[in-house]
Amino acid sequence: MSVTLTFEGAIAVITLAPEGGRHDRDSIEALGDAAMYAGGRIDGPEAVRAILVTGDFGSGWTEPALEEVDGPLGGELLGAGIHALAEAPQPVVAAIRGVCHGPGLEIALACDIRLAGADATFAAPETAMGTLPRAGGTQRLARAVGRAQALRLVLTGDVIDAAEARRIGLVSAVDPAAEVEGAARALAGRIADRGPIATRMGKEAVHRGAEMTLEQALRYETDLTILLQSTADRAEGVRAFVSKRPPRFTGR
Amino acid sequence: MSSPGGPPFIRFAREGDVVWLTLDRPERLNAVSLEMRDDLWGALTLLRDDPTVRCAVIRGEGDRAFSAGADITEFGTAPSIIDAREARRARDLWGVMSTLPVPLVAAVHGFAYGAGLEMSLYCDIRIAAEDARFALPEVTLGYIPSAGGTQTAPRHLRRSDALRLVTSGDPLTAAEAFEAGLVHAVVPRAELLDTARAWAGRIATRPPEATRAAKRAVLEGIDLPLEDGLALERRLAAALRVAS
Repeated sequence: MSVTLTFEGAIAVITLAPEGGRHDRDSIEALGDAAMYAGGRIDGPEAVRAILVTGDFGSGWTEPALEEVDGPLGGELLGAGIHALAEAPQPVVAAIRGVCHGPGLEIALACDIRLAGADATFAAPETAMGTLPRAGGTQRLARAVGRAQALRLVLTGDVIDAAEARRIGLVSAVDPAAEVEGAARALAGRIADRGPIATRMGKEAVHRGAEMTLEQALRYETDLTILLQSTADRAEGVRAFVSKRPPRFTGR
Repeated sequence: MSSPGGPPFIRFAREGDVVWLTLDRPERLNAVSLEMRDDLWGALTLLRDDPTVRCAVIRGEGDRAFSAGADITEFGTAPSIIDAREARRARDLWGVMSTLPVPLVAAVHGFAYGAGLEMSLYCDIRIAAEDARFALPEVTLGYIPSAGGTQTAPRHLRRSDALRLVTSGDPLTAAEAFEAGLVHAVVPRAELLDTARAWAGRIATRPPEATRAAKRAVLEGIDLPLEDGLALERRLAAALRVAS
């Protein structure tokens, strides 16, 4: 199995294990299926409030996958499953160890918060093969780290280590390799304890608002805030704070 | 600029060309109440309309906080959410702060949580004392930042760091905030105000038309397609040449 999906309370855990560290249409489709299944569970007792992506992010595409024609002539995009992960409504935390290159980097970029183990390395090697990142890499990388660093990685294919990834802001923290999954699980757990509608709307406000002018984006944030004022969770959060007890959020 | 029944919650003081705005409600960790919003509105419109001010510094009174955020005891007091929305539109405090032409410096110590952090994100320079702590804890109470934080944080920070602040509510220490690029400098608490005064003083020595045009070019340009941003820069530069 190149992708497994398990549930730990309100956290969905997607574990990547591409064969030989190389992704193909099947492994990315399996990722998309897992992301859509977990992302769809936003209501009821089995609701998913945060998603953790872990395991082997991978070193590249298989040779047959590299030969595939994408887009209008080739049917569904090879990277559709990665775009599906980016569209999950809940916050997605990545725990990255070892090699995270090519499609592995693109999967990491589809996550919201990236934590790296000290052994992690990152690269976009596609231009060496005369091609480009094909699953959103050129777009999400520039939005994640800014133009100067995105161009450097895409144009040179340079491999950077975890410390360099932290320096340029690609990851939010570096932990010892054996501890990063635990740190990411704890972070996902803290997110899962927050108001679930609020964490989804916070994610939406950051990603969508970044594509607007500040003036439009501030109005958008206000509207989401006002919408949240109609939820039971927001009333419960304030009541709990005032009476100094932990809140009990229901997702309503 | 006054609060019914008491002194204003924002002190406004002028030192030469620099204005100091002090959040002055230390017994409530400078929490932003409705009255403080009114006082802040008055102070910010004064800044907006006074072309002789060359820089402003914002700081918090008391030992413990720049500002701990919105005053939660006032939540849910609006007659309806439609009224709440209208009130925010009618007196768009953060809209005024986000478009203030004068350069702003934040001198941050202690808690800068929620609206406190969001206020500092409208500033152009952020100086932190070593004891400063930054967080957007709104999601822990079931809501989201509503003083612009979901929009300003990703414009100052890398996306992963902004999403960590917004979706987890986890606090950052001053050192972590410096590493993430959230603050320009971290100094011992005793040096905070002098450091902020020095930054503001340097900005105040520049020709004010130029600093105001430069601030506008960066803030407006960053959300425009490059071609439009370059056209804005050309227009602003030409206006400066005509004026000089």
